[in-house]
Amino acid sequence: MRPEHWIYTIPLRLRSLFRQPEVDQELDEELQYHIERKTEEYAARGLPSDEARRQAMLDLDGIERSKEECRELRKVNWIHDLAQDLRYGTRMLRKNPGFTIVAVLTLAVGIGGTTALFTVVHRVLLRPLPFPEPERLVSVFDANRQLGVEKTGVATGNLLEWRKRTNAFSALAGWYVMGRTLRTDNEVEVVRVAQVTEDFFPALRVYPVVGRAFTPPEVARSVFNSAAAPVGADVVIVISDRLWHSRFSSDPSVLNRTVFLDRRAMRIIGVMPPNFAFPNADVDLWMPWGFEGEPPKDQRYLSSIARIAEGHTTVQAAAALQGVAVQLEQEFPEQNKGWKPQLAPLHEELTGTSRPALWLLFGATFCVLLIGCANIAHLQLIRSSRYERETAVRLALGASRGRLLRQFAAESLLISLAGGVGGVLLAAGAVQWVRWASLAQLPRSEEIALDVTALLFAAVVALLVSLVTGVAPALGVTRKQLTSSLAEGVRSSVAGRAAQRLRNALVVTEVAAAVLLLVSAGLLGRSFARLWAVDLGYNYRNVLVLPIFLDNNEYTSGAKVRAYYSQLIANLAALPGVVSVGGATALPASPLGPDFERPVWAQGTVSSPAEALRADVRMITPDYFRTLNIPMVRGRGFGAEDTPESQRVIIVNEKLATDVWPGQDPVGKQLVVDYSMAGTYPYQVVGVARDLRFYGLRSEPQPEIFLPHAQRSYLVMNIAVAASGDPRGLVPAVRRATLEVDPAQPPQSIRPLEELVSDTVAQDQFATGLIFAFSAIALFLATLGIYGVMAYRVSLRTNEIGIRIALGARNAQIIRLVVNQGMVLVMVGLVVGVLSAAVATRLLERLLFGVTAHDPLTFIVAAALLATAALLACWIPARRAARIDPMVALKHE
Amino acid sequence: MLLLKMLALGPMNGFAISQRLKQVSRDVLQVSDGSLYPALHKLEQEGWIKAEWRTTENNRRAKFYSLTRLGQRKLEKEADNWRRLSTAISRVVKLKEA
Repeated sequence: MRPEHWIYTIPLRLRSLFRQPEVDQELDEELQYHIERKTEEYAARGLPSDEARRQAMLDLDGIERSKEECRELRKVNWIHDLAQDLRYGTRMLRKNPGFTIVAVLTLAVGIGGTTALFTVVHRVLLRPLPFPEPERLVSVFDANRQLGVEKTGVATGNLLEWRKRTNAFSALAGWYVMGRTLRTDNEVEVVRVAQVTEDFFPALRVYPVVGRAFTPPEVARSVFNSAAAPVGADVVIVISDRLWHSRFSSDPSVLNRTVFLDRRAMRIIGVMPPNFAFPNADVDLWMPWGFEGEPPKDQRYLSSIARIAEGHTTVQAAAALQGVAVQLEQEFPEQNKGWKPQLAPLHEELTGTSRPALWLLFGATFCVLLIGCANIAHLQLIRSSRYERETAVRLALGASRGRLLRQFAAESLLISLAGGVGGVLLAAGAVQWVRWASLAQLPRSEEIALDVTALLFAAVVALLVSLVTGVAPALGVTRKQLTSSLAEGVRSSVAGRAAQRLRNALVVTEVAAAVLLLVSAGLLGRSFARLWAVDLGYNYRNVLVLPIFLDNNEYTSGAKVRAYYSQLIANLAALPGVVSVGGATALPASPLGPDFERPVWAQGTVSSPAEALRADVRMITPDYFRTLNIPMVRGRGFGAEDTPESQRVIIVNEKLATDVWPGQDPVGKQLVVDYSMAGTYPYQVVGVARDLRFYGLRSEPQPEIFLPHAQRSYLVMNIAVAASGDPRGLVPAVRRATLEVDPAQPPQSIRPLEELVSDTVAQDQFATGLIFAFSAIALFLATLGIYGVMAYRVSLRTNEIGIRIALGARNAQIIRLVVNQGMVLVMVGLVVGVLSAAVATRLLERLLFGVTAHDPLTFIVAAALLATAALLACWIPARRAARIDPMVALKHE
Repeated sequence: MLLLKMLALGPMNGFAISQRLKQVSRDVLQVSDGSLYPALHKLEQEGWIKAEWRTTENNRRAKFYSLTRLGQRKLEKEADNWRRLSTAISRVVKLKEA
């Protein structure tokens, strides 16, 4: 019945909507025809022609009334009304450009902020990872509670066993990322290479768009030696879309091209899709990783993911993995005692650390929007009061209340739509900025883009805003008694109780939201300051860091490696402006380089390495401590006397010294280091270095041991160059000096250490900076709002104040009167704001460093700041009130 | 219902309907011209009748209304209702007389 009904009615409705003139014309004609015929009929009965016409018209009860009745039957009038309301609204807004601009800008900032943060939250935190069935992907890591290791990589040997012994995973993959020099047609550059095991692409279920992925035989023959260089023949690689564009100009014939990676020929067999960014967006090349014999089970440095097989839950898979781990623990206690591998959803694992900060910022933008809305609602309230008499007259003449409400709403709708459009533009800019800056090393930042969901979000927010800012004031006005409005005159009725209550609520809301933001900003700011005030334990200013990954095909012996680094250090040290040059396998805050831990113990104290303390192992050159300004607490540093032939020596840090020899002087003692394949030997402790926070400002000092690079040469070193001034100017000279030693070995990067350190707090910096910006806007808007309300109140009370002055009230009394009235509201808002902040800041706890979420000083300062701003906002209208001329005031309406 | 019934006899224009109504009901039902057109438009908007422009017998353009299938059904239902109602009423009226 219904659909058939629509066949007839829908065309009619559409016609009356879009062809209105035509339809009206037809109605005219129809009635005209009727009148003519009727006139003819009356004329035939003998009436004179004009009398006949009059009679015919009379029969129709008035031609216009008939027409109007017919028109009203068309059921599309509301659309015409809406169009009319919008036209009217546009006209009203154009007449008040000041109001319009302020309102639209405020909303654009509010909607833009919320939309931008929504986009980030949605894209990074809410949207599933861009892989098929992403909920089946888990991150795999190893943990050992007995040793206090909460999370570390997995060992290749164990990974292979897990894969063999359980069917809970359809794929289980590991990878290791490093920098390598890529040479194509004599162009040399350093690229990030992920060396991946067989299941890598099957786990993600993403494959090259050009060419193909590795076949199992290709993986199997791509075997690496101990220096992570491939030894098999015909090694194949897959490259990123970015590399394909930049180096091969998207040429499809790139397949089967041979390129040189660290001087080894490799064949390109595939190009990944453009948005593929795993394990991260830096990686440009994927190289298969096969294994020969028994890979080690105690070198836990692999990152790993798994895809849970159909029919298994994460819990079941974790249990299956535990079962296998227990077997392996029994079979290989030396390597696996106490090690319990863990699973975590991959999405959480990638984004976990950014979660609280992003939600916090999202909430902050809502506070700003709320304050903006309150301001606009108040402005609307004032504006609507100007039309109050008109409204009253229209109501008296029978306009329906709904119709008037709609007219108010149309105006708000226009403002919020304009604000929404501005907001979306702002958000688009902000999103570009976030992407470009790849801020705070935000995970998945390459996926952030304004999408349909974000636009929908902006539209919904704009609609809600128009409801909040338009309907409330409109209701306030039209609800009023007609007679009182007409009789009382305009001003007094807007001072009426409903409107008054609404205004008070607006002030309280604004103050509360602003306090909430100020407290959050204060806490984050203090925490950030505390963070920067932390003594890292080394000097990071005026230091350049250049990681070097020597090619093992060329540097085949320890002697060659040592010769290279001695030459490099000598060259760099000779540069003007360079104070000192030192190297280490891993430098503090520098993400590149071999960084691992090994069991250590004082000779004769431990029966099995599995029970021993684990210490971070670093190979250093003699000037390492001097370059980073790390003092020796006891003993000596390394020097020329420590050669491959001399006694094995070691330097420990204070943490290790107190852990292994509490209360004793470790210098001269023997420390055993289980160096796995390279053997377990005692080393003579020659010095103790001061502790430092290796992994950034938030980290705690870990037990560390240092071995002389001369005695244990590594291909990969991070060279630190301390300069006498700003080191940035030295970059070209440093690069030249490096290439002079070996033109085929460019540094991976040359960056100031200070930058690397600030990278470790980039997320804190990002969150703190943004929340400061938001709270500044909030404070400004709230102050503006309070000022607006108070100024309006004073103008309402001009009469009364004039009388008071005429009766002898003094300036101070008038000022106190106005200020008190405003500050009472502000105080209520402060209490509400402080209470809600006390609850809300608990969510911040994870972000804070060295400050509690209820830091009283922050709360007091935030409240005081707002109170001061509010006082100012009340003071200005109060002073104006005090200057009122009683004569003028009494005449005032 | 009256209008629907009239149109069931064939397409007709507004003027003709008003004339016909007077004739058929022998001037008992005085449907004013003023309410005729709104009623026709209402039926049209409901989808029960449809309108088209045709030339009249004396060669003038007029809007002719005719019943749609939907209107046909509506008419049957209404007529049914009416029959039942009027039978019931006349029974009650006879009851009083008896």
